[in-house]
Amino acid sequence: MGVWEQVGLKVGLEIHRQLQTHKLFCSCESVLTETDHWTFSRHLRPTRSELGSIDQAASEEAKLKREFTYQATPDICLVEMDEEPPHPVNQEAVDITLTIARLLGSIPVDELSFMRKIVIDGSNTTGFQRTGLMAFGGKVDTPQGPVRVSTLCLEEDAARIVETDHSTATYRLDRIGIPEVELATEPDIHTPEQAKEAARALGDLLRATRKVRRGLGTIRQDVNVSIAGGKRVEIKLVQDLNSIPLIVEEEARRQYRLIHVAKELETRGITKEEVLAHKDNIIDLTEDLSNTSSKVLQRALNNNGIILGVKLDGFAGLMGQKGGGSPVEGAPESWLYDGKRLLGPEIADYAKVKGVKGLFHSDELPAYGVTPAEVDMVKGLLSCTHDDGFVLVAESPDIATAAMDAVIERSAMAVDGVVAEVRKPLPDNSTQYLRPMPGAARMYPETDLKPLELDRDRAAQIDGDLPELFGAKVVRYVSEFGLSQESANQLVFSSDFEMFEDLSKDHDPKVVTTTILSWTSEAANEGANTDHLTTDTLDVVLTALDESKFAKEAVPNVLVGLCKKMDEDPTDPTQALEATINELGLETVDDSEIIAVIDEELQKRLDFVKEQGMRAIGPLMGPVMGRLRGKADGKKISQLLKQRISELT
Amino acid sequence: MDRLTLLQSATAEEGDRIRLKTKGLHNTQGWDLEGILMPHHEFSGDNVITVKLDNGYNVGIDVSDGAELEIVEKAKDPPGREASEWETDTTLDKITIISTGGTIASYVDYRTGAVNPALTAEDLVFNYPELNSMCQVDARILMSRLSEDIRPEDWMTMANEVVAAFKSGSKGVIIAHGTDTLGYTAAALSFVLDVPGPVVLVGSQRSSDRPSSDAAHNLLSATRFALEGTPGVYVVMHGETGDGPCDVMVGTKVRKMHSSRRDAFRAINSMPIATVTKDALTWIDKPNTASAEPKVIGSFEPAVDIVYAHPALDPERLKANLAGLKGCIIAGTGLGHLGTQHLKVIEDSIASGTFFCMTTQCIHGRVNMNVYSSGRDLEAIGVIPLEDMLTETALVKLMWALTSSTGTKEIMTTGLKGELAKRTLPASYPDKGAGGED
Repeated sequence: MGVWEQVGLKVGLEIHRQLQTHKLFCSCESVLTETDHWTFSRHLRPTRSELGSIDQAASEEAKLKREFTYQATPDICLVEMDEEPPHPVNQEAVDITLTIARLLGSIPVDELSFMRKIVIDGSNTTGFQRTGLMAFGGKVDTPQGPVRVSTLCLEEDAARIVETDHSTATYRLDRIGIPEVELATEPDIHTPEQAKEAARALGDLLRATRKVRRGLGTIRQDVNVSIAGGKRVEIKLVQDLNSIPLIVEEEARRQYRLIHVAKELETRGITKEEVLAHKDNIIDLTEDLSNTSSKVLQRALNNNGIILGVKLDGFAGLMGQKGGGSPVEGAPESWLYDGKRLLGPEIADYAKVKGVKGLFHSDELPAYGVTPAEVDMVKGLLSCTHDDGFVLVAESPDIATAAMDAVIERSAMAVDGVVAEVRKPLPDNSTQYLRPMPGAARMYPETDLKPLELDRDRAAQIDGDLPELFGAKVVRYVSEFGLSQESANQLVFSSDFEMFEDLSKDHDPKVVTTTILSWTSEAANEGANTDHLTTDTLDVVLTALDESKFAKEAVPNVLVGLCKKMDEDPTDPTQALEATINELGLETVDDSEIIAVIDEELQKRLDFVKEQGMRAIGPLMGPVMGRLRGKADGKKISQLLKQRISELT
Repeated sequence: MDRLTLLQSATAEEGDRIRLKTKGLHNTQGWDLEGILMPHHEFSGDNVITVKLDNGYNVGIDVSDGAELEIVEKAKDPPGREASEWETDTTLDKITIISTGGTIASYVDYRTGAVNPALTAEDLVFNYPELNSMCQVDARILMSRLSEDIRPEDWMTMANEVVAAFKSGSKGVIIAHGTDTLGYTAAALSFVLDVPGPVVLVGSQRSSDRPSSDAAHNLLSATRFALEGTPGVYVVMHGETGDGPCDVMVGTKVRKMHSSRRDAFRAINSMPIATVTKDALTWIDKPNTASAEPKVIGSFEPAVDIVYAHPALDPERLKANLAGLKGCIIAGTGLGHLGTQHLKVIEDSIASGTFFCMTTQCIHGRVNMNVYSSGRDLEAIGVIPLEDMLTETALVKLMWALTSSTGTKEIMTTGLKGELAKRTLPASYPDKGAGGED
């Protein structure tokens, strides 16, 4: 039995992907801009939801009473500003989502109702995100087995965060309203590697529609992780496919540690109520530690802060790293000895939300300038025994008090083990507490929009025009274009099949394949900025190649030169290409070569030329130019042609 | 199967937890859904049942091809609100908040999915707890009307309520009102009321069921002005698209200038007299109004209309529309003009006793009927130019003037409540902004 089976790992994915169409509830283009903007500021208040309660995550946010500043870019209209009701839903976005549903084998609902999902972190000017559940069911295959899809939703993207701090946040409104699908799977994934494979397979399927946006920020993956005895934890915004297995493993280990802590607390007979009772026993240690040599504590004191301490009965050894013992290699128990801290970071995360930069707990002291004598003094003042832990917080009185309450609340939760919550990934693939798991109470109907019928005709139309999936594409590329299996695989799965298909309409598919898979990377190896080599630019290059303006062998060099020219002026690939050809000397053909071509053509039509004399110049220009196109000037050819005819007649 | 038959045979009602088994339109395997039965939307398909699932989403499933529906659990009463008890600080001034309906005093009816104008006085304090630290709240529901349904007799009901509120010791009165006709009501109350303190009309442009609603900011700012403002009728609404200070505008000089923006209300041919937030009132041009015994003066003649001058206006149709009117405002083109082909119709109507005034459909600016002959001709037959008065204000004032024993012309041409200004300041006409205020 593998380790993942032993710990009962369950992973589900939630994938958000922007659609390649205008905004969902207005006619603005879905473009991000870095241009100038003007700003306005707003506040949000939570509303009573449909079921009469205010969602937990929403009220948590409201307690912060934040001011939100919005950057209004020139591309937005009043809808993004929440100064105008939503326009009827973008029908193309609905069709793309239906297409995705059919590809997944999901069943569309008969009537789509958009809901308001309360989000009051400011990222939506309305205070809610509009989202509609479009289809249920379906699946995607991974090498480790099928992963069922639970729901497919169509929703509007939120505004882009620019900066945020404790009391304010600034958002840019260019992104708000871009349509995106939200695709959630069942927790059918049982290994970290399978999570990556499922995300990849879903990403490939979405791309096959050619109607999803590509590039940074257009795709977001949330990963839901639990192990047996743990709880579902949502890890938000995992950007990189390759980090998914690492994050999943790290989260499984974290949950394992927390379950261990809970068991230990149970053994020690610690109850939640006992921990919470410490809210009345927060001790002000400001006077006692006024001469501390700890820089962290001193800094707080210098800023008129206070130092608070609280005892945590029976928590000794449950906050820091676990020492001693003899872990069994390969067994989950060994995770307890991997050097990671137990409860400390969890408690600190909750305190940080209240505005402190960190805290000290008993398992890590003495350290950070806090002396053994000071630790003993604090233990004495807090009446700690050998079995008890304690936490110190230093900040301005308001923040320190709020943070200490959060410390105690989080410590009490430790009795239950893993807490269902939303976390964000950190660069080292660990995660940090973000907010409580939002409840179901956060949705109510978007009354400004009518329900939309998804009838059988519409479904039939979608079915009749389903895009080709990646597997089928590979087979077709091999049979239709004679590509090797390897090239076809590479084009479809790891390169740019869109570019290949677009260029192959007008150019030899094999040449296009070499261009995309070899020549472009050769140019990149030479240091060229191959971002310039878009489909349009390569079309210009391949057209020139088709016209024999240069030889195939010259293409990598042409691409290098072209990219360099386009570094200076990226707007005109045609001109850049001409300049490159000139510079590389590909156009120089000397007079004797031209005369040779002329003479060949003259010989073929000797009778005609003798009969017509100078009148033969016109008819002869075509074939001669055809052979020399791009390599010699037309005037020059005409002049030499005239000369040779006069010599002949 | 017919939706209603299905629901009736299962005795399912909105709010019940139901289990629905049906094929719907697309599901050959058949749905097996459990959730809360939602109300039928007026734009939903006839046989579509909307179910709220446990994940919060509503989905519509068609039951035309047959369905099984069973009730899992009957609807529970909506969870009771936390006891709406609050302690009143009796040292604070009393402010009366009269709710007439509209977005500001509305909530989403989750059973019908609509924004409904109905809110109890307790709801107001429950929703805007800050009120309680500003004043003693005396809230009452006078009516629950969308503002497009407000009628002239409702103005009288409001006016009487305002007088009663001042007589019962309120320092100021706030009227929560739908925004569509809020300007008309503000003008009407301006003429019909003498008051000892501020009467503040306030609304909201974005429904109060959304976290971004302007309702709280407008209402709390209005409360500040009701506590510290001058006697008279005013409108307090967002001064910009952001939640910056609200504008305080004179009730006869204010117009809804945008269908949806928060800062839709603008002082026309004038400037806001102050800006105000929950915490502070900043005067721009403090009115010199005197405190008066609260009373209602006069009433409103409903047989009036506005004629909007336009190229396709037909003299015969115009004539028919004018029949039986006691008074009429011509919203003229430009400086106050109406096509010459209508001169005879107007002249006849005046002869039959209809009183005519001229305003401009340009909204901004002043009528001047001396510049072109069409204006001179209209004035010659007895059409009274109303300077810089807003068309809507002119209509309301005419309704009021027609019930007075004083001469209608004298009342209409005399500035009473700030509705007529002799000077138009250049700054009163908005600059063309690139998009927003920065």
